[in-house]
Order: sequence, then structure tokens, then C-alpha cells
Amino acid sequence: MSGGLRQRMAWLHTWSGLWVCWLAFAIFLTGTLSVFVDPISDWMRPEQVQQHQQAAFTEPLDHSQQLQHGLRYLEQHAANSKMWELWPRAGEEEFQVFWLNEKGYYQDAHLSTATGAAMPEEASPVRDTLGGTHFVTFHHELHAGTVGLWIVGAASAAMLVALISGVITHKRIFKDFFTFRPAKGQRSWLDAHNLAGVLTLPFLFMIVYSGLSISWSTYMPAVSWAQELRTGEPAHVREYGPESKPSGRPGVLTPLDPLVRLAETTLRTPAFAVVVNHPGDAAMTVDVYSTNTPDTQEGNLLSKRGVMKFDGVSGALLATEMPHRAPPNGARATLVTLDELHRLHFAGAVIRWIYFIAGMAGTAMMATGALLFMVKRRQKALNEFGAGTQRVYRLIDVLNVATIAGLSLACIGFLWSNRLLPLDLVERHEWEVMAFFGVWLAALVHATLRPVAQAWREQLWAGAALCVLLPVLNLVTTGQHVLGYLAGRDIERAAVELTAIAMGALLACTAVRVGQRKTSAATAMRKAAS
Amino acid sequence: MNRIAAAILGGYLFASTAAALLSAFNGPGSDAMLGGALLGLALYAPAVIWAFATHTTRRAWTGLLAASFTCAVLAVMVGASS
Repeated sequence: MSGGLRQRMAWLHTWSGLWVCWLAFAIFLTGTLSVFVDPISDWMRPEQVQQHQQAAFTEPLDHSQQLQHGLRYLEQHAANSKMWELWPRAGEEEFQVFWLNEKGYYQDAHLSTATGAAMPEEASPVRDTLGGTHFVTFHHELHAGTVGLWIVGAASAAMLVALISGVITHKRIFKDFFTFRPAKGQRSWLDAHNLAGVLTLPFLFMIVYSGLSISWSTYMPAVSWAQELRTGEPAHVREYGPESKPSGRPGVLTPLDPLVRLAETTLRTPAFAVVVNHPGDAAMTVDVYSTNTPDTQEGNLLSKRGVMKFDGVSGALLATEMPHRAPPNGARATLVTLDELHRLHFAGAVIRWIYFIAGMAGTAMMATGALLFMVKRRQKALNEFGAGTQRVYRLIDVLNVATIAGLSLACIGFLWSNRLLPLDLVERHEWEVMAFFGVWLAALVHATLRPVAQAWREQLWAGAALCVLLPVLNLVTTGQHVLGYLAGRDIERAAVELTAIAMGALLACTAVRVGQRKTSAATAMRKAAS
Repeated sequence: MNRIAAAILGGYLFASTAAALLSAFNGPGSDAMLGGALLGLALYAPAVIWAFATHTTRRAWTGLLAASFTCAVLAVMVGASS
């Protein structure tokens, strides 16, 4: 690593990019799929009847019976809890209550509206699955808890470094943007890599930085250590429960009905949740939260719920926060905005599709970058690893196949497992996740056993076949199909299958191109995938 | 190898102390910590880039350690005075 700034940045871009590219590809592909977490979850629960849209809010609803039953249940079962939470649902046969137990975890009960008795746990008619949440969990912590979160954080930091150094390396960023030289081997790969990268550059910076920000308290523990040093008290960041402190003197809870009625009138939505902080204490408070719907979200970036805070004994109004408004603190407002931009709680179909396409372009940039590394070196080995160079190159080839083609295969394999696994398996959702990792592992083993060009072709074809046949599988196993979904105005489930077919076509095109290249041995691997 | 360590460790130390410094200005509470952390996360990648952009590895180490030390001292002073 010598020479000028540009050479040093090129070195940094190559090596920070290389070690992270497979991980970043996996995080990006699953993150892109997570944009459609709800449609995927719906598709994976074929038994679930689609909820109809709520009618527009006109007047406060009558929650008195549910509130009364809920409070009685909580007094009997959670008298010493720091926090109660009631979710009144007017017009429904049952509703939920929650409380914090002694260990600080949430517990809940389903209560009957008519009698107030806890409802027995029924066997759910809906299959046990994580749905699209699997992709979300993998995306942000690789199904590995805090360790996974740190791995993803390190990958994100490396991605930012690769992005910045890539921009510095890139001499003619604007001119090259309009340059694409197809079918020219290495040159085409570089053009494709640049095009995908530059096109989505603002998106990439935004999505990686906002992703880091969401888990700031994990990645930047120094700020809480500094605070602990200054104040001498532990600085808790994530703690469920009330922010206020109890007085220690007993108090009697004010009737909740008028508070809920006032909140519904002011916030103009049905109450989502009624929270009682420090129940039974003279300093208790009551928070009433509003319900978010696509109607209230329309035209707003933030998906924050509105809340009205009351004194729990006198019933006096303490504070009102209207829904979808930014919090007053600047840092907090920045974070909730970044969070919104990353997690898209606010977004409708159009924005989600834009994210999906930008995410796919980012994913393609990483794939082309990883391939470019090997395309360059297949023409002229650079012997960076001394005598072991060929073995390292082989390893990189295998990882390229197993990540790019193999993970695609695992993702569609996950959807297949949802339809194929027996419905009565214990912890069935775990089996689906195991199927995902199982397919991925099989792809890795396959890639190590086959010559690299064959490995690409076979895995890409397998992925294409699974994608295109997904609607057939669904028809055979559940009897549901695209036309039926469309007839029932179930656009989301239909879109999952149509998108799967499109992705299958994409994989098939790539596989065909890999096959064509076989005829010309010298260039066999240049077009290995896209 | 040494420069990579300077970038990863030195850069993180600098990002952390800068974060602590900014949060010290904002008094107690999780909102104050948050502002510092957001800044620190934004500074890490540029710090790594700088460690590779500067001419020698020695400069990378001394620059990042000196900046971290300055931030840490200022954070303590600000924290003590508020």
C-alpha cells in the first residue's frame, strides 16, 4: 500500500469491500425483501383472513365494559406491577391486557368482552411461521442476538468505508455514470458496479447510516459510560416501564372512561392502548395512545402515535402529543426520522417499490464488486497471498457462488418450506428458519464440490425453478392462486407470487448467460452472474 | 496491519470520545446521550478513511489518539462544569 491518495483509497476499497461483500450482500438482499415484510407474512399465512380497512373515525367509542373487566383482571393478577396496559377494541368479542411482571418482562392475557374472564388458548387455525419477520431478523442481527447485531454493525461501518473510498477512487464519477460497455468482460463488470453504486449512492449512505443509528445504544456504549461517570448512576437506555417515579403512598385510580373519551375526541382516532403507570400509587399516571391508520399517516413522515397523559388520581390532563409530530428534542427528532427512513412504517406501496428497486441495485453493486475482484484476477493472478494464492482465489469463488446464488436459493427455499413442512410440527417456525439455513449450507457444500461455472449454473437454475414454480406449489398445497387473490382484491399476496416469478426470470436469464459463456472457454467465467 | 489497527481501533476510540464530548454538553438523560451517539456513528467511517489517507502509519496513530485524548479531556471538563 504505497503511492498517492487514490492508490491508497483503491487498496482500501478493494480490501474493506472484499471481506465484507458477502455479509453485506446477505444483509442487503434480506433487507430488500424486508421492505415487503407484511405481504410476505400474509402470503406465508394462507389461512389468515385479510382484515378489512377500519371505517373512518367519527365519534368516541364505548369502551366501558372492556376497561372495567380489564382493570378488575389486572387488580387480581398484577396488583404489584409497575405498569398496566389495556388495549380496548370496541365491538370485538375479546381484547388484550398486558402488564410488567416482577422480572420486568411483559405478560399478557386475552379477556372476554362479555364476561371479563381470560379466554382459553385455542389452537390457532393459522400455521406457525415467522413470516417476513424472518428476513427482518436476519437482516439486522442474523438470528444471532447481540453478537449478530455487532457483526451487522461492523459490516455497516465497513460498507461506509468502502463507499467513501470508492467515491474517492472513482475519477470520473459523472462521466462514467453514462458509460456502459456491455459484453466487454472485466470492463462491463466495472461499469455495472459503478452504475449501480453511483445511481444508489445517496440511498446507500442513508440506509447504512440510519441502520447504525437505530441501534446507537449498542454501537456507542461510550455515551452511557460517560454519563455514568458523571452522574454516578447507571444510565439505562432501554428499559420498559414508566419514566416517572412512584411516591410510595397509596392512591385510587380515577375512572378511565372520561379520559379515553377525551383522548379519542382530541386525537380523532379510536384509543390504541391505555397505560397505567405505577397503578395504586398516589403518583400514578394514565397515558392514552391513538391508533395509526393509513388515513392518519397520509402525508406524514413520522408514524409516532399521539398520546394524552393524565394524572391517575385526579384525572387532570398533564400533556398532549399529537400523532405524527416530531418530538421536541432535536436529537430525538433526528433519530425518529432516520428510523422512519429505514424501517418505512410510514410508507405506502410506491415508496416501498422505490426502496425495493434501490435495494436490489445496491445488492447488485455488491455482487458485481465481488465478481469483479475474481474476474480481474482470473485474467492475471496478482499473487497477493504468496503460495496460497490459488487456494484463496478458489475460496473466494466458492463464497461468491454460495452467497450470491446460494442465498437467493435459501430465501426462496424458505418460502417453499412454509408450504411443505407439516402443519403440526412443534415449534414449526423454527423448522422454517432451519430450512433456510439448511438450503444455504447445502448451497455452500455444493459450491465446494463442483467446478465454479457448473456451480453457478446449477444453483441459478435451481433458484429460478423454485421462484417460477412458487405459485404452482401454492396451488397444489393450499388451493390458492394469483387469479383468486386478484379476484378477492388481495393485491399483496398476488404481488408476492408475481414478484417471485419476475425474480425467477431474472435468475434464469443469468443462468442462460452463464451457459452461453461455456462455449468460449477463455471467457467462461466473466459473465458468471449478475 | 498496524495501519488497519490504527483505523479500526483508533477510529473507534475517536468516534466514542467525540460522542461522549457532545453528549456532555447536553446534560443528563437519554436524549443527550443520543445526540452524541449519532455524531459518533457518523464520524467513525471518516476517521477510518483519514487513517488510510494520511501519509504514515505513525501519523494515523498519533492523530487519532491525540484527537481522542483532547475530546476525552474536554468531555471531563464540560461534565465537571455543568
